Formats: sequence, C-alpha cells, structure tokens
Amino acid sequence: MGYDRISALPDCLITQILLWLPTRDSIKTSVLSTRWRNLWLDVPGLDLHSNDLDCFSKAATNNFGNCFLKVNHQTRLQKFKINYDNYNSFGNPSQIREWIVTAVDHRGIQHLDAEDQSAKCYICFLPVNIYNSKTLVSLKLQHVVAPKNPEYVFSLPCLKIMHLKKVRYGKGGHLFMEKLISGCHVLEELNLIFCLIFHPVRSGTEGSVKIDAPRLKYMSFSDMIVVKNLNSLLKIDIDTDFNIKPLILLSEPTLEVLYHYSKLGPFPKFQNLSHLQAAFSSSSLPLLSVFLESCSNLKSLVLDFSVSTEPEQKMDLTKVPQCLISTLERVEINKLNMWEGPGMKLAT
Amino acid sequence: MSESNKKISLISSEGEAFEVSEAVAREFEIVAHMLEDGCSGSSIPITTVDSNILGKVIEYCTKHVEVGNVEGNSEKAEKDLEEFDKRFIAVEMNTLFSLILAANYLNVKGLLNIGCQKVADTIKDMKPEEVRSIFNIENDYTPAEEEVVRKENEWAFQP
Repeated sequence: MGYDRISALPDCLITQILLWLPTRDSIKTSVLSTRWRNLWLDVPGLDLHSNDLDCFSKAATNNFGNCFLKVNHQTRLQKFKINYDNYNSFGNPSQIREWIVTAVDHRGIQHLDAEDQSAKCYICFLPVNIYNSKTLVSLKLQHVVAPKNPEYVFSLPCLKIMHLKKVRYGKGGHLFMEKLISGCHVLEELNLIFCLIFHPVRSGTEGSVKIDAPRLKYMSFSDMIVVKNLNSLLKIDIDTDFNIKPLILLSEPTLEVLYHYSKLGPFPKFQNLSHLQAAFSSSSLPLLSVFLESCSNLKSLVLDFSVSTEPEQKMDLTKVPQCLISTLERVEINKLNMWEGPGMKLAT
Repeated sequence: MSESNKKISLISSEGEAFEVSEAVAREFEIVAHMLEDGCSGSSIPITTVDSNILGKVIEYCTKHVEVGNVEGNSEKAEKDLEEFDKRFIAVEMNTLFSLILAANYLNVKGLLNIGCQKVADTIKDMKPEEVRSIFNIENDYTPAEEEVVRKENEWAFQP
C-alpha cells in the first residue's frame, strides 16, 4: 500500500480541499478514518442542495446545521451556497433562514450564492439582513423575492460582485434595485438579468433602474436601466435580443429608454470602455451611433446584428463617432440574422 | 533598468538555482514579503521545495504573469489561461500533493486553489471505500465505530 499523502496534509489544507465539495460529500469523508472524523466541521463554507435535506427529518437537519455553525463559530465563513430545485423540498425554510442570519451576523460570510436548477418557483426565505452585511464580497441571487419594505436601508460596504437573476419584487421594484446598487460603494461587477419583467414600464425612463456605481468595471444587463455614473467601466455586455418570444418586446423598451435618455441630456461617457458587445437590430441603429459617440476609447466592438422587419431608421452619420476614427481596432459582426429580404448591404 | 527587469535566483532544496524575473518571483507571496521587508539579496533559498516542483511552480507563475501583462484582459486570454491551468494540474497524485504543499508554503493562491479543486474533483461522487483506495487511506475505525459516524449524519450517506 502506498503512502497516504492526503491524510498527512495539515488540517487547514484538508479543509481547503473540502471547501470545493458540496457539504454532503464533505460530510461523507468523516467515515474515511479517525483522522477525518471531524474535519468537515472546520470547512469554512456550506454548499447545500434542496434535495439534501428533504428526505430527512427536521431534527436531523437542525442538528446538522446547528452543530456545524456552532463548531465553526471561531472561523469566518467564506461561502454559503444553496442550490434548489424546488422550494417545497426544503423541509424547513425557516431553519435555513436562521442559518443564513447566523452566517451573516456572526460568521462574517463573504460569498452568498442562492441559485436554482430548474426555475419553477421563487424562494422567500432569504432574510433581509443579507442586504446589510458588512462582510459580503459577492452576492448571487436567482429566483428570490425582494424585501417588501421600501424604507429599508441597504448597505453592503464590501460588495464587489452582484449577480441578480429573476429577482421578483412588487411595484416600485426599480427603487429597490436603485437603493441596493447605491448602497454598494465598491461594486465592480454587476449582472442583472430579467429582474424587472414583472413590472415593465412601457415608455420613458420612469420605472427603469438608475445605476450610480462609480467603481463598476464589468456590467451586463438585460433590463431597462439608465446609467448615471460609470466612469470606471471597462467592459459592458448588452443583450437586448433574447430570442425568446415573449421577451423580445422588452428588448425594445430597453433601447428606447437608453435612446430617450440620450435626448434628455448628455449621454454618460464611457471613457475607460475598451470592449463593447451588444445586440442591435437595424431599427435601433440611431442608438448605436449615440452609444459609439460616448465611448471615446473603444478598441473592439462586437455586434450581434439582426435586420428587423420594422422600418429601418437612417443612421445619422454627419457626426462620425470619434472612436471610429481614432481608437477602434477590431469590429466583429456575429449572427447576421435577416428576417426578411436579401437586400442587406454592409458598408466598409 | 526597471524593477520588472531585475532577475532573482530561487534556490531549490537540492541547491539548484532558478533565475526568474522579479515579477515572477513576486507571484510567490512569501518572496514578495521578503522583498518588501528589505531583503536585497538576489538569491533566495526555497529550502522545502525540490527542483522538480519548484520548476513547475515557476512555470505556473511565469504563464500567469505573461497573461496578466497583456493589455485588455480579453476573453480569449482568459480561456487560454483556464486551459493552461487544466493541463498544468493534470498530474499524478504524488506530484499534485507536492504542488499543493509548495503552493501553500510559497503562498501562490491561484495554484493552491486549482490544486485543492483537483483533489476535490477526485473525491466528489465517490463512495468512501473508493476514496480510501485512491488515496491509500487506512480505515482505523472498528465496524461499530464507523457505524456510529455514519448514523450521525445519515442523510449525507443516502444514495
């Protein structure tokens, strides 16, 4: 029999290894040998799946969670990840809620990630104190219900990464989003996907989210937003064409909001932006020109371009965007979708 | 001469010298701290790491410094680096553990992470018996003791 190198590692390295495993697999290592008996309890993170806990009695899961959070109470919890297929399969949501409260309030959690596999339902067991964490660095939420109280104060002083996908909130949801974003002073990466689909506003900038995040470096979104203060932006992905029928309608309002905004006042300048990838249709060409004008240092431009059936609008090229002349090095046009007619011509 | 052109020699446990740029040496956090503490010598002994492993750690750091220096972190560069990491860490178990220990000692966080992740990927979805045999872990529980441990968190052992 060869040498057992893994058991000879110091505890801190074994727990680093176990941190990469779902908690269920980490617990299973307790039977390997007496050396492994309690190592899983020192892992600085939890990674649970809804299926893990549904088949077992409340008492047993309570015992597990309380035991884990108690034993671990000295060390900081690096991550807490919950995967769920089905809200109902969490036998005891209030229990998980309590664990998260403990993780946020007492264990200095840094990464919280609640994601779904099959997206059938919304979870509402997340406690509001996650929006006031002094330690969270990344927050990834999917299919969760936002807190209802509009008076709530958001403050996430360490948060750098925020991904929100299909977060549901009631009327005035854009205010929730705005308050949340402006409560994250060091935010560097923001990803918003389908967050406003339940209360889309049809015209104007009312109801769209105003983003004020001076340190933001990476942003992607597929919602109606209005940008205000994005001086640090390096990379942006805009997807306004989802190829999902009911949502195509939403791509237009997003563009409209941006276009509308450009007419109302000075369009924000993206001076640091060097890469832009965007989906544009031929009917939104005027916006493209507006956008390019504000990116004075653009180096590469990738367009997922589609020719729409709607009447084409003339692109006003009397004012050639500066970046086209000076900095632009590479242009890529993908997915040249033509919905009708072969009359597409590309200017060079 | 700019800082980044300065050369530093890292000396392995066998006494073999590896000459690297200061930028690469600084990827070893332990070395970066030494330099900041005013250690001006141009050769630094790494007594706990042998030549084979030290050479590999330097290869890893060199690649990551190179990619980091390219302007505008393009998606392609990121993908290349991911591919590099994947190939780099596909080594036999003994080397893998030596790399983890070296990365931990030298404080090269990226390498420590991919090393730990690689071991975790091996453990994942395996039965305890299989894990024991892969890593040569001797089961020193009595059957009765093992049963008690299993019972404690029975749900985790459900298929």
